[in-house]
Amino acid sequence: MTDKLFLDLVNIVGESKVSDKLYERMLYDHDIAPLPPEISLIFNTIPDIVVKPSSVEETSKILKYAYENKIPVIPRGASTWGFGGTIPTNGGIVLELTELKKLSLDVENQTVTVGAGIRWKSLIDYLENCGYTFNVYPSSAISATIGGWIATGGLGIGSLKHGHLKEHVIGLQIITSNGEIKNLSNDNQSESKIIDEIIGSEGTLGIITEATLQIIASPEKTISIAVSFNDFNSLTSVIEKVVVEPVKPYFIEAQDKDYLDLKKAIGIESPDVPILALFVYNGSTSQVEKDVKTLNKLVLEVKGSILPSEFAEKEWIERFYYMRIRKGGPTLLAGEITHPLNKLEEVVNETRIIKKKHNLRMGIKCIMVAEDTVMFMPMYLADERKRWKFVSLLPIVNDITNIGLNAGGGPYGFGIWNSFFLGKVIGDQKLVEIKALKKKMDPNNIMNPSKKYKVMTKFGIPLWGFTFKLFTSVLGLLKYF
Amino acid sequence: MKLTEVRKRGLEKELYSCAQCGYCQDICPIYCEIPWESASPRGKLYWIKKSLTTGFLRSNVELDEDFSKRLYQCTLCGRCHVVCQTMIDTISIWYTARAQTSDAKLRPKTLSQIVTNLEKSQNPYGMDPDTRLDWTDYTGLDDPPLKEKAEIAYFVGCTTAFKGINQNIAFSTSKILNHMGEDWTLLSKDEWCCGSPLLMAGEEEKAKKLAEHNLEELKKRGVKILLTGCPSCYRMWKIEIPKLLGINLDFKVVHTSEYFHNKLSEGKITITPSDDIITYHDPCELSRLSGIIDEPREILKSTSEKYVEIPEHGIDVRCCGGGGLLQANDNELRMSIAKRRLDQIKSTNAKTVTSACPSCNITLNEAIRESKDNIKCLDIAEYLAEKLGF
Repeated sequence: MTDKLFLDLVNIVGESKVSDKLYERMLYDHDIAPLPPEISLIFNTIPDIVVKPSSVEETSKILKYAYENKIPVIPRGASTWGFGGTIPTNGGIVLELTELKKLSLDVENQTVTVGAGIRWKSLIDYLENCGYTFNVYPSSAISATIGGWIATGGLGIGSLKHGHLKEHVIGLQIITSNGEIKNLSNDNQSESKIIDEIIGSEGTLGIITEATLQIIASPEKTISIAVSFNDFNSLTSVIEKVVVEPVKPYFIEAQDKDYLDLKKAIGIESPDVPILALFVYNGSTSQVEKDVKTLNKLVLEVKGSILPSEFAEKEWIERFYYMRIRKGGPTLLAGEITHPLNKLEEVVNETRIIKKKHNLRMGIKCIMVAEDTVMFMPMYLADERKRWKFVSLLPIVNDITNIGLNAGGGPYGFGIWNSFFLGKVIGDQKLVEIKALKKKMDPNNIMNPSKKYKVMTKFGIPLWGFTFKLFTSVLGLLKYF
Repeated sequence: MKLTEVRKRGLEKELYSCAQCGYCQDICPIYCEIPWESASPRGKLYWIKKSLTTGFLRSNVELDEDFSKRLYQCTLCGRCHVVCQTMIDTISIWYTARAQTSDAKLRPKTLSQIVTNLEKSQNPYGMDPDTRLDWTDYTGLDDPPLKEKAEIAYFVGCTTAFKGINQNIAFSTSKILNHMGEDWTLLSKDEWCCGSPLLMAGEEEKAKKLAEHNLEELKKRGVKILLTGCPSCYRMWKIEIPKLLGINLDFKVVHTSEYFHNKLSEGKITITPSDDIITYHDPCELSRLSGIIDEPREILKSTSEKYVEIPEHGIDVRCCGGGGLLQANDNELRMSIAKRRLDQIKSTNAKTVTSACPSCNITLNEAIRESKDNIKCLDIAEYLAEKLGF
């Protein structure tokens, strides 16, 4: 089968774009979340083959082939997500889209059309050179691809001021599971609905090959202010006030003392404060100056203090380097949940109880992704070389997700590991709707199967939430070994 | 064979701290030409990690020819370290892994030839050691100084001394030294390779022998300054040799661009500024790996009012493809990297591109010759000598 698969795909795209070599395939069995080898007990994470198409037409042909032969296709960008979206669960074709590199600027309409494989930071840099910017991008922008973030997220830097990525997508080009190329525009109501479903569909409905995005002129001024707060309550109260100002900050981020200490432990100079927050404003110089004055006043009211500008500048540059602390691990595990701002203190307290219970080297980092929504990212260090201890620390990620759910939020994405929470997060009615859509758009169930809706083990048996819970609880007991 | 040497050299924690974030991909000159995980730094680190773990359910990954080939598809430019979220000492990991391929007899044959050449004739090209000074004849340098004692030893380096296209760099450097009336000498056939290619081919012990010989020769001449125009020799002397031999050098190691910059500042050389549109390609080993970034620029800015920068420069320079012994291992790959860099150089509209490295000089000149572009590539010493009328 694999030989035939190889030859068939070589016929479609040519030999240099296909690999069936084990040394290559085994590098496509993971994402940024460190996994123990025990995972191979339930999943076959090494793909049968990896293909790297360099055009939309080639991508379409590959899908047509996979559709006709009912072979699972796992689309992949830079694989910088941590929920297992790009991990094969039972082999199949990994379709890496990083070579789709179209980039075309339409100055008249202020739009840019980009291939799925372009990295967000390259796009932002390119636009900046032309005097433009795109409002939102992920914190992993240096490597994250256009297609990857549209398919998995859409919340990140800039979302606080400019809203979800959805609001800036003019159109998408997708390839459906049978290989059909569709150009969808937000101007068309029915197409707009499909665009809405494709964004965040985690590669389960179709493959994003191009996106047309609305761009704006570069802001006149960007300024970042570093603030120290005594507690999360004061931070929350200031955020609540600044986000209702007529002009919202572009970005707000906070790190607690524990996180700063983890940075210090690896030699990164950080201020000795209970909470370090970064407020970034952009826009016209006069407006930004006004905003900063307001912030100063609000910070003083809660007995916070403005830190020297070098801290702010450094933190703004470092916004892409959220995993630096891993150096002290050498392994890093993290939760990633969104929840209402007014629950921040409660979520922090509950997370700290977990930290204490397991005696974790844990720190908290969070960013505001909407005026009332926090993306909460507690990170803790582990050492995967200490096999059983490491495995026992994995289920804690689930405990953190549960804190988010209890606070009225949920996981940031589903993939494999959070698929069990899907119903709880979106509600039963929506679940029925999207399952129907999945069936309609992917009748042969080849589009990133075994993700988000229903996870199947390599034995073809569904992995239900309670069995997974049992599995992770057993892993949790391994610390006694 | 497992890559256990990484563990033995205390690099295991570095290796495990790879977050697989992929920031090292698009900046990697190799990945840009071979866009597969196995050719990217994060893919290589993941592979090495897998080869270090053994036991129940663990993959049984052994060092083989395919992966060994990938390890040598690397220019050792070090940019993966600079962009790394966890600041992994990637360069040490690449050197260590290469050392183990040599133990496993999996090193590419062309590199083994270089090692043999170095053992036999103390230069990577297998040239007769007696011809090391022939460049003085070819370039017409009168009375090359061969002193018993001197303040400065000009350590020419094999790639400058033996490669025709680079010999004018040595000539230019000599002329400027003479012009300033410096007390300097060449080492002639007593100069052996600095050992850098041996480290790149994974042969540390052999590199030590060369270094010990060179040290002896420098000591004999009472040298206070070792001057070189080759960033590989420079980094080898400044960083690697003291580490390899566990010693502190009792002379200064200075790159020609630093030296000439100082002399310009002191007013020992004066040049009338021209309106040449000129740019500078940073050699990776000089800028990113040794921190010499401003000095060459200062020289060029003082000689031309129209100095321009190439995209991706300084610490973020994109490698030209000339490093890591890639020429010997995969010349086609080297040339495709060079073409990409040349395109960036051309985007500046400069008529002259300078560099400060014999390997960059060969590589960029080759790329220009192939593309038939109307752009001149010179070493900074050549450019300076030209301006001084030599």
